[in-house]
Amino acid sequence: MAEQQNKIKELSELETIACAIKDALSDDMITRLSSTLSEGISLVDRITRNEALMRLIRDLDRPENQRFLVSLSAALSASNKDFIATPSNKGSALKMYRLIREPGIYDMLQLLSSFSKHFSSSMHNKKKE
Amino acid sequence: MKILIVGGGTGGSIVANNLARQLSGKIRDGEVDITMLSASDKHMYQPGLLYVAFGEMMPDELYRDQASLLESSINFQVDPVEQFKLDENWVKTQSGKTYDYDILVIATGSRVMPNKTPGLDEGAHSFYTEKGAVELFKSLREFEGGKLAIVVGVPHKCPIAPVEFTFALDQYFKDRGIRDKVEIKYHYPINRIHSIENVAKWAKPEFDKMGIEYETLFNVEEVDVENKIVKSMEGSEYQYDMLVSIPEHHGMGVIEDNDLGQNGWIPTDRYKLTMNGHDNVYVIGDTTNLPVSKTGSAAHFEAESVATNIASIIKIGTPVTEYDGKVMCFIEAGHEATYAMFDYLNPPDLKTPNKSMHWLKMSYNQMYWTSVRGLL
Repeated sequence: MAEQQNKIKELSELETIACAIKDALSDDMITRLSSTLSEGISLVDRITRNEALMRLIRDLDRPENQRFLVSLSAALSASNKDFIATPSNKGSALKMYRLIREPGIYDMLQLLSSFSKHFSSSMHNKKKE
Repeated sequence: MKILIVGGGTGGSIVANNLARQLSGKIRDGEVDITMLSASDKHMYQPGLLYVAFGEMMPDELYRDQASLLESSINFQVDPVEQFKLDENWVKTQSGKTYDYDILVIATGSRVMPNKTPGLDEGAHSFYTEKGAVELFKSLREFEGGKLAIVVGVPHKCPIAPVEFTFALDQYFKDRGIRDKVEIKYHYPINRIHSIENVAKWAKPEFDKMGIEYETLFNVEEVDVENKIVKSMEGSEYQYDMLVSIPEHHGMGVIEDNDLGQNGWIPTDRYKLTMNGHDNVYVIGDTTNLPVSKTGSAAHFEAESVATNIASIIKIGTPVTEYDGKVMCFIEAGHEATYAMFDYLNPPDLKTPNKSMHWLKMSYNQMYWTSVRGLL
């Protein structure tokens, strides 16, 4: 008997929730939600049928690439702060030389060089296809 | 293989997108080419006009760029067809170009013909165009009471529209608190209040509950604009303060001009959806002469069937399905709604309107864009 009463109480709670949702929603809310859902479905469809985006998502799933992106994001944020804090000045060959000698700059040039090599090779392969 | 789709409405867009998906490999390999010729670079969600007439949607919400709704592999051109040479498999467009094809899909739609009845164009409002729907809304806002008459011409697009509009009127005047000052009278051309028997059976008690008067066997002969009197061919007349018409429709002028079908309706095989006498020409949507509703829903189900068959003919040399006459229409009834689902064999069985169905219809008004992209 007590068990049945509990079930009835639970059902009544569910009905109250359903009624509350019905009362709270308006035509405008339904329209906005449906519009978002509609555009969302179209977007997901375009992404999932786009070979390049799917490849990018697969590659970004790898931990080393995620670390790379996290580092890139941190570097973007830090360099932006540096840029704002540094007064603008005229460049010169000497300043360029000093810049190249700073720790990390050579590593970055090496990374860019490696990226350029692979990117160029991939683009040439695509052309042949 | 060249597939040419003439018309960029609901049916044309769904058939084009479904084909582009089903034949994506063959399009990539250059074996299949899909071209769409349309009269406009915009796509309109036509059922939304009913909401515009009551200020519930703005006209700009009804439009999308047609190109944004199509798969990128479809060659889309805004260049309406003027000449069909079905025996030689080519068409000529307004710009003077010719397009040849192996398979042709005609989905040109329909148009209102208010000028076929004397006085109707000048004397009556209609919500079948953007301009008409906006003007109707402005007039409804200024209407403070009196006799409002609804008259219906046949055939017309969206058979449920007269009933839906009448329900919406009742709700609109109730919401404004002046329902008791408005006499709504519904006139219908056959001997019941709707062409679909079960819709008529369902709507009649609803009209009675709402206090809506109705007169059947009322085919509009003329409108006396000066004296505000609408006269029927059957001899009766009604004096109104405001007149709203659901005008008679014809197929597009290009169909009539090319003698493809009487009044612009092309004789079509009801199952294969091919044009009679032309196995490589498919006809969908309002353009057919089929005994099904002229609605986006019918165009949608027809387009799916045609796309599946064209794709299967290209892949395995034979069609695999038939159109069964399926149509699904939402019916707005004030702040509630119900629906009618039927096909060639099964008449609709209408349920009591409720709020959830109304929201489903509201949702569909937005989901339409997903549907026309071929996703739903």
